[in-house]
Amino acid sequence: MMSEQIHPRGRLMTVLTLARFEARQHLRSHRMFALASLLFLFIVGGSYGLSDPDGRLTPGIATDTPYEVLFLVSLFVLLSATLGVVLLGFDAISRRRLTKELAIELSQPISRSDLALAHLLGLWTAAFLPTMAATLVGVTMVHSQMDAWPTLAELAYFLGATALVLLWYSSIQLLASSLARDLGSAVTLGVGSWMLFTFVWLLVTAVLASIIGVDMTDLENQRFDRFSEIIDLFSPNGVYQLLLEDRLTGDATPHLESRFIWLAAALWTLIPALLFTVRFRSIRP
Amino acid sequence: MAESAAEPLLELEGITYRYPVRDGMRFWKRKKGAGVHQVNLSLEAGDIVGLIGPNGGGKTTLLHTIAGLWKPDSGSFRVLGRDAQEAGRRWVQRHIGFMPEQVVWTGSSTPRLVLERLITMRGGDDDAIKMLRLVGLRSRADSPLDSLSQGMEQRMTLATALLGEPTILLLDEPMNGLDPVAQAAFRGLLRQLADRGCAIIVSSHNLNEMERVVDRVAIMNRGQLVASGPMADVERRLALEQRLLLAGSGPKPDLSLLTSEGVIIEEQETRSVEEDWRYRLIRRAGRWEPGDRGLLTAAVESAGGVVQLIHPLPAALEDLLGAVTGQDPEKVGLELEGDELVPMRTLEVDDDE
Repeated sequence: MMSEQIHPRGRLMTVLTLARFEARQHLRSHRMFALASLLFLFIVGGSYGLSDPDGRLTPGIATDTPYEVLFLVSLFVLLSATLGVVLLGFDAISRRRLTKELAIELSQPISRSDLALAHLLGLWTAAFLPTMAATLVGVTMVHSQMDAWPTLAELAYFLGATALVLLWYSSIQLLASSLARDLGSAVTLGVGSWMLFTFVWLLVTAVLASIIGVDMTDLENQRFDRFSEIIDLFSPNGVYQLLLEDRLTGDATPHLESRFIWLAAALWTLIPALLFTVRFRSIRP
Repeated sequence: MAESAAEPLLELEGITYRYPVRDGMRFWKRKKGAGVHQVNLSLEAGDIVGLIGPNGGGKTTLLHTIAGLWKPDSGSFRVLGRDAQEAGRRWVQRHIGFMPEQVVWTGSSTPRLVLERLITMRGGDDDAIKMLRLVGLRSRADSPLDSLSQGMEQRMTLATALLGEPTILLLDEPMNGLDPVAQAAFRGLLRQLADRGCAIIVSSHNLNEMERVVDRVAIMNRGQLVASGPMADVERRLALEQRLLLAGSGPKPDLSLLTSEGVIIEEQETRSVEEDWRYRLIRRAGRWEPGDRGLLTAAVESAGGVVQLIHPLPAALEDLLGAVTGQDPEKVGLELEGDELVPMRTLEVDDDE
């Protein structure tokens, strides 16, 4: 079908306005209370605990600088903020489909791609804003314990990488939600994809390593490190960790070259979002 | 509202859409399932057409197709004289207001926010509050959606369909959940919109409800438009006007003479305290003539009774479908599982017939 031409700036403004509505709806939801508690407990609590000068961590894990603490806090981000995206987004499309709200949306004179983008940006904003707030509070906790601030560049880098991982999860969740036809499959797909990357990925790495014949019993084995980094490129959590590791110094830096990590980040940004958009364009209410 | 009164606002020509369904265990394969087949329909400014049919008849599928939720497999439709394919989905949707069936509004958002979001999607400058006032939800503008009753949800959905002053309105089972007062107000609103030049399709499986608001009916069954035209004409053409209701008080009349004339006499439960008996009289052939009522009244009075009611019975949906498809009325609409379409059988009734 021939489509009506709308000025790109007008389209962008419409998408941003719709994303704001979407984010507002998520931020006002009851689930946000649960998410906010979770984020503050994990991120703020983690920042406080990990920056404690009297704290003893496993040998080899350094927490000498605020950025190193933030790097460790990223584990809590992966546990809580990505779960937050699941909480907010697992039924973002499927619920609308069940309630028939989606039929109303799809009957409006707006490009479906724009609508998909608005859904994505709205979910991402709703997940990122409280995560950013918790991170900033966490940074003040780090300062209170270590009497040092991360540099502005370090903080921006950390928040940027966190924003990216939340965007990837937002795309994955919306894609899963658009595929689900009922609440059960929405939960299964949403939580299942989160569990795959958060808990099961280690198992995937181990199985693949044993198939290829990489020794994983020796923790100092550089070959396994490299192998696991390559496998991590196929997981959003892995790429997030590699991005953050890339700014660490000494032995903690990844074996992979930065360009590969950034290429993976770019692909994780594009591919799930593109898949969701394609799916949304052909969705039937 | 209407850009041109001379030509139809909406013209469907051979619209066909069949849902893709999984082919058994071969989940990667899709085959054509149920849907709508070769639908032709035309609406002019001010028309209110009742799209009626049993569950699974294809009413919703047809409305979804017109609303641009998917492309038809074949056929074409024109909106305000423009070919929908050429005009583009967004142009078509700008002129169409669609109210899906039984939308459930949930969440902590509010009617005002929902409408403002949809107004943004339409790129219009409607006033959400004005629209909520129109459907009687002004006082609930900032209430959580979760707090709306079923009737309020229907009004809310209607408000979404009226955004942007659409020229064509598609309403899927709009009366569901509305109380009688709201139904009357809704009918008044539909008439107002039609008087302003809007063309409206209202789908329902309730024929009586439709009769009070529509100018024409279009009957769908098994994905096909099986009859269309003014309601009275359709009933006449299908010879459904032979039903008469006779109720009265006192001794029961002797109607055995009617049986020999081929009239089926069905005794029914009384509906009021004034009634002692109630019959449904169905002529198998021919029609009730005006003089027949006098004869029936005389038969009742000669038995010592008094006639309380004597009037033609409106045809029920199953009667219409039975007459159109030739199936037993009691069995029409039960078979919903098959994906195959029944052989085409359409009855067109012209206004001047």
